Amino acid sequence: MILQRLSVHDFACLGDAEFEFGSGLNIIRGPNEAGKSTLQTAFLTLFFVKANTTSRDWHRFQSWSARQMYSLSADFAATGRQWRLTKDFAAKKASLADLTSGEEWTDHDQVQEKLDELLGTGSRDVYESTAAVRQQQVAMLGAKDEIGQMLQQAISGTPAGVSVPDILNKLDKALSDLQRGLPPHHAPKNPGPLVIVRDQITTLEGRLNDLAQDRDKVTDARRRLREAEEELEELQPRVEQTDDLLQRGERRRKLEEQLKDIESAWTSLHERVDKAEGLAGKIDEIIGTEVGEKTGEESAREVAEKAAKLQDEERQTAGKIADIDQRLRQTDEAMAAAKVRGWVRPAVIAGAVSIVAGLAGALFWSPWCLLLTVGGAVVAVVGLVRRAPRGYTALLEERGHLERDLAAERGKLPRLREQLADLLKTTGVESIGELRSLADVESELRGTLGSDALEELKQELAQSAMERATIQEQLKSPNLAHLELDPLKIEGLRRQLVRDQERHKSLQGDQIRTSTILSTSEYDAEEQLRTQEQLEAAQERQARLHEKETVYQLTQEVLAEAYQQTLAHTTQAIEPRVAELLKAITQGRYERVGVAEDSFEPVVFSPEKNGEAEPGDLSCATREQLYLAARLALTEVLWPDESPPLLLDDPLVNFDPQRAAATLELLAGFAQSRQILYFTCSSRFDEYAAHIIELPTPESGA
Amino acid sequence: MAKLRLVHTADVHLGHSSGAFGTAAADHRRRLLEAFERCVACCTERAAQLFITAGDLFDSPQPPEATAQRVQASLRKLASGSPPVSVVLAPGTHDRLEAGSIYERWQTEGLPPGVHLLSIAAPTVNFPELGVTVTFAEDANELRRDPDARFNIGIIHGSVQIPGLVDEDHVIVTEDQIATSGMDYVALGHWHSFGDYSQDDVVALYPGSPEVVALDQTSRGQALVVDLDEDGQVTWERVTTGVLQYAEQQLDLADFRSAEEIAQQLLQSAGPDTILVARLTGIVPADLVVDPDEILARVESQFFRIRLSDDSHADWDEAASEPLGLVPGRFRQFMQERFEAAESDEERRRIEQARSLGLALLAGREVLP
Repeated sequence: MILQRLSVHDFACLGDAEFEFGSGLNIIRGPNEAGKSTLQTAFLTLFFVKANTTSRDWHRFQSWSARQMYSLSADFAATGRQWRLTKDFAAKKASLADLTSGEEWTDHDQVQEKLDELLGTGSRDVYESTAAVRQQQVAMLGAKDEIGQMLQQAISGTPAGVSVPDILNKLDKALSDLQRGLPPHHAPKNPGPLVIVRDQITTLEGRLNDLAQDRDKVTDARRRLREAEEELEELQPRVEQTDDLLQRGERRRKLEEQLKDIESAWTSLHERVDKAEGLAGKIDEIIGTEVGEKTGEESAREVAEKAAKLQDEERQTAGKIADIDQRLRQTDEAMAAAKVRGWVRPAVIAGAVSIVAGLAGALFWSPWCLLLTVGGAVVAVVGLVRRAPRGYTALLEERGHLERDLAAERGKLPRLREQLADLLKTTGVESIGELRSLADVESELRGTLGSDALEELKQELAQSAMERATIQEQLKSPNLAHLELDPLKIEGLRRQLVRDQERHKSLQGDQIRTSTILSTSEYDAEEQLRTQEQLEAAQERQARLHEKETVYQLTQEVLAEAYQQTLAHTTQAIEPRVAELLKAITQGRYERVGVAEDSFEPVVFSPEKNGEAEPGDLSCATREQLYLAARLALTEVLWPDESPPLLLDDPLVNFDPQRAAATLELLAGFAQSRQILYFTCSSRFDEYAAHIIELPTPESGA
Repeated sequence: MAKLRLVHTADVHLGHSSGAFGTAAADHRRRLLEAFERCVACCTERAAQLFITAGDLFDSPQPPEATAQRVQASLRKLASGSPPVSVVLAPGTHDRLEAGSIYERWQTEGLPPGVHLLSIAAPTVNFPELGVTVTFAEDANELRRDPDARFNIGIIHGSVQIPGLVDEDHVIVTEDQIATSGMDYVALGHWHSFGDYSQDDVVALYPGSPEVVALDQTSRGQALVVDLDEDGQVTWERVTTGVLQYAEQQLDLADFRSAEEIAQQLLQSAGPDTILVARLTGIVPADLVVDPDEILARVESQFFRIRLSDDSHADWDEAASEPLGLVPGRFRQFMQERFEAAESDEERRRIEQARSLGLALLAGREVLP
C-alpha cells in the first residue's frame, strides 16, 4: 500500500490540513509539538477506527476550537488500484471508494473489513506490533533478553504488554480453576465450579432417589390401603354372613337339644300323670264313693288312714300285752331265784371275820394264820359274786305294777277292736286286708306323685307341651328351617370364619400401617419436581462448564501449536536476513546472527570475542540496531509482496552518524518495495528521502 | 328460549415440571393453578351452568397432592355453589385414568356431588335439569346423539387430522367425524392454542391452555365461554385467563458492539410476567465476545423467564486480512482446518468458540474469569 494523501479536519492540533506522501522513504519532519505523533494518530485512526464508534476515547482528538468531531480522508494505492477513504466521525459516516473500478463501500463493517484486507494487518494491534517501530520501544531495550521478548510480541501480533506465553498461562490457570478438586487431585477447601456442580448433582440425585423411594412407598401404601379396603369391603359381609349362619346353626342345635329334653320330660311327666290317675282310680274303686257318703266330709283316704291307725294301735296294744306277759314271767322267775340264795350274807360275814382273824393271828401269833385270812377272802368273794341282783321285795313290787299294766292293756284291746270294727263298718271295707291294699295303693300314688299334686303335674304337663310346641314353632321359622348343618359343615364354617376373621384383622392391621405411612410420610411431590428441576439445571450447568473446559483446552492446544510453529518458521525465515541487515547497519562489523527457536532471542557472532555474543554483551546502540534489523526482516517475511506503510518513529536516536547514515541508506533501499513513513525532528536524513513532509513549527506561546 | 352456557377449558397441565422454566418452574406451577382457578371463577362470573375440562387437567396421572386437593376444593365449591355449576372432567393423554392415578383415587374415594369424571367405562352423563347429555370418546365414531337431550356435547382429547400436517397422534379426529357426530358442540382438548375446527352445523373448538405451558406458546392463556341456544345456534367468546405473555427477539450480533448493548436490547421486553425467547444470530464482530450465560445473568431477574439461544457465528472471512506469519494468523488457519474437519455441529460450535476466545485473548482482552 502506498499512502498518497492524508487530509484532516478539526483533528487535534493539526486542525484542518492535508499531507502529500509518495512511494519510498517519506521523511515527516518537524520540531517538537509540530504534530508528528498527531499525524501518526490521524493515520491510525483513519485506517483502524470505525466512524460510528461510541467510545469516548476518540473525542480527545477533536480540535479544541471545533464544535464537532473530526473527519479524515486519504488517497492510497493498493492491489494495483487507486482508493479514496473518508471517515466523518461527526456524521458517523465512512466511505471507501475504489477509484479504479468506481466501487464504493459505506457500511462501517464492510469498510473496515476491506481496509484490513488492503493493509494486510487485520487489526491496529497487529499493525502496531509489526509495521510500526517507535523510538520508545527501541529505547526500552535494556536487559539481555528483552530483544527476544519484544520480537516474540511482534510475531504474536498482540498489543503491548500481551504475550502468547502469558495467554497460555492464563488459559492454564483458568482450566486449573475450573478443574480444581477433580481427580486425581485431592479435594481442596475451595473446589472449582466443575467439582461444585458435580457434588451438587450427586446430592440432588441422592435426594431425588430418596424422594422417588418415598413416592414409591406412598404409592405402594395407597395401593395396599385401597386393596385392603376393597378386600375388607368384600370380606366384611362374608364374615357377618358366616357368623350369622353359625349363630343360627348354634341356636337351632340348642333348640333341638332343648326340645329333646322337653319331650323327654313331657314323656316322663305324662307317664307319671297316667300312673297317678290310674292309682287314684284304683283308690276310688277300693273305697268307692260310699265312704264319702257315709263319712260325710271325711275322705276315703282319711278313713283308711284312721283304720290303719287303729289297727296299728291294736297291734301295739297286743304287743304291749305280750311284752308285759313276758316280763311277768321273768319277774316270777327272779322272785323264785331270790328265795334260794339266803346263805350268801352269812358267808360274806364269815369270810370277813376270817380275814381279820387271820391277819391278827399272823401278826401276833403265827404266819400260818394267813391261811385263815386267804380262806376268809375266798368265802367272802364267792358270797359277793353270788349275791341276788335285786331284792325280792323289789321284784314283788314290780310284778304288781306289771299286772296292773297288763290289766289296763287288756282292757284297751277290746275297745280298739271294737273301734276298728266300727270303722271298717263305716268304710265299707270288708277287712283290714282290703284296708291294707288301699294303703298300698295310696302309698304307690304318693310315690308316683312325690311332693307334687296330681293337678300340679297335669299343669306341668300342659306347660311342657306348650314349651314343646313353642320350640317346634321356632324350629319351623324361616331363619332356622332348612338349616341343615351337620357337624362337619359347622366345623368347616367355623374354620372359614376363623380364617376370615384373621384375614380381617390382618387387613385392618394393613390399613393402620398404610394409613400411618401415608400420614407420617414427608414425601412432597412439589419438592420432587423442584429437585428434578434443580438437577436438570445443574446438569445443564455441568454441560456448559464441560463445554467451556473443552473450549479452553482447544484454545490452549491450538494457540500453543500456532505459537510454536510461528516461532520455528519465523526463526528460519528471518535469521539470514537479520544477518544481512545488521551487517549493512553496522557496516560489516556484525555479519553473523543466529536466532533461538524457542525464545526468538538473537545471538550475534562477535569478532572481538571471536564467538557468540548475546544481546546483553552488546552495546545499547548495537542492541537497538539488532532489534531494528530483526523488525525489518520480519516485515519482509510477513508481507513478501505488498506491505502496509511502515511507520518508523525516529528509532535511530542513539545511532552514531555513521551507522545512522548506513541505516538510512538501507531504509531508502528497503523502501523501494514498500513505503516507509519516517517521523523525525532532524533534517540529517533529508538526503535519503524520496519525499519530505515538513510540519510547520508551532506558534510560540507569545 | 332456554339457553345453556358452559365454560370450556383443557390442557391446564397442573403440576407441570420442565427444566425449560429453570428457577421459575415452581412459580410457573403456581401460575397454572391460579389460571385454573380463574376458569372456575369465570363460571360464576358468567353465570355458566356447566364447566367442562377436556383432558390434561393435570400434567401427570399422579400430580402433587396439594395441587389435587386444591383442585378438588375448587370444584366442590363450584358444584355446591348457589346456583350450582355442574362439572365434567375427562382424562387426557397426560392425566390418564389408570391404576394409582388421581382420577382412580377420586373414583374410589368419591367425587364431590355435582362433579363427574367421564371415562371409556362410563362415557356419558346426563343433566336432566339442564337438558344436556355430555359424552366422552376417544374414538369420535362412538359419539352418539341422545335424542331425549336438548343439547348434546361431546368431549374428545386428541388432534384434529390436518392432512400433511397432522396425520398421526394418540387420538385423531377427522373433520368428517366432527360433521357427523350429531353433537351440538364438541369440546376439544390436547392442543395448547385456540383452534376452531367446526364442521357444518357442529361447532368444535380447542380452548387452548388457560396459561402458558411451554416457552414456545405465543398466545396468552384463555378459556371459552360457550352459549348453546335451543334453536341450534352456538356462540362462543374467548376469555383471557392467563397472565404470562410471550415475547420474542432475534438479535443480529453484527449490529451490537458490546454485551451491554445486547442486554439493553433484551430488556426492552422486560416484565415480571414476560417469557422472552431470544435468539442471537448473525456474524459476531471480531471485537465482540458474547457469553450468553453472562448476558442471561444480567437480565434474567427482569423477566418471568428468558430463554437465550446463541445461533451466531464467528466471522471466518476476517482471517484473510491477517498475516499468516503471525500467531493470530496461524491460529486462525489451524482453527479453520479443524473447523473444516469437524464431524458435528457441536464440534464446529466449540471450534468457533475457541477461535473467538483465542483471538480475543490475542487482542489483549480480559475474557477469562
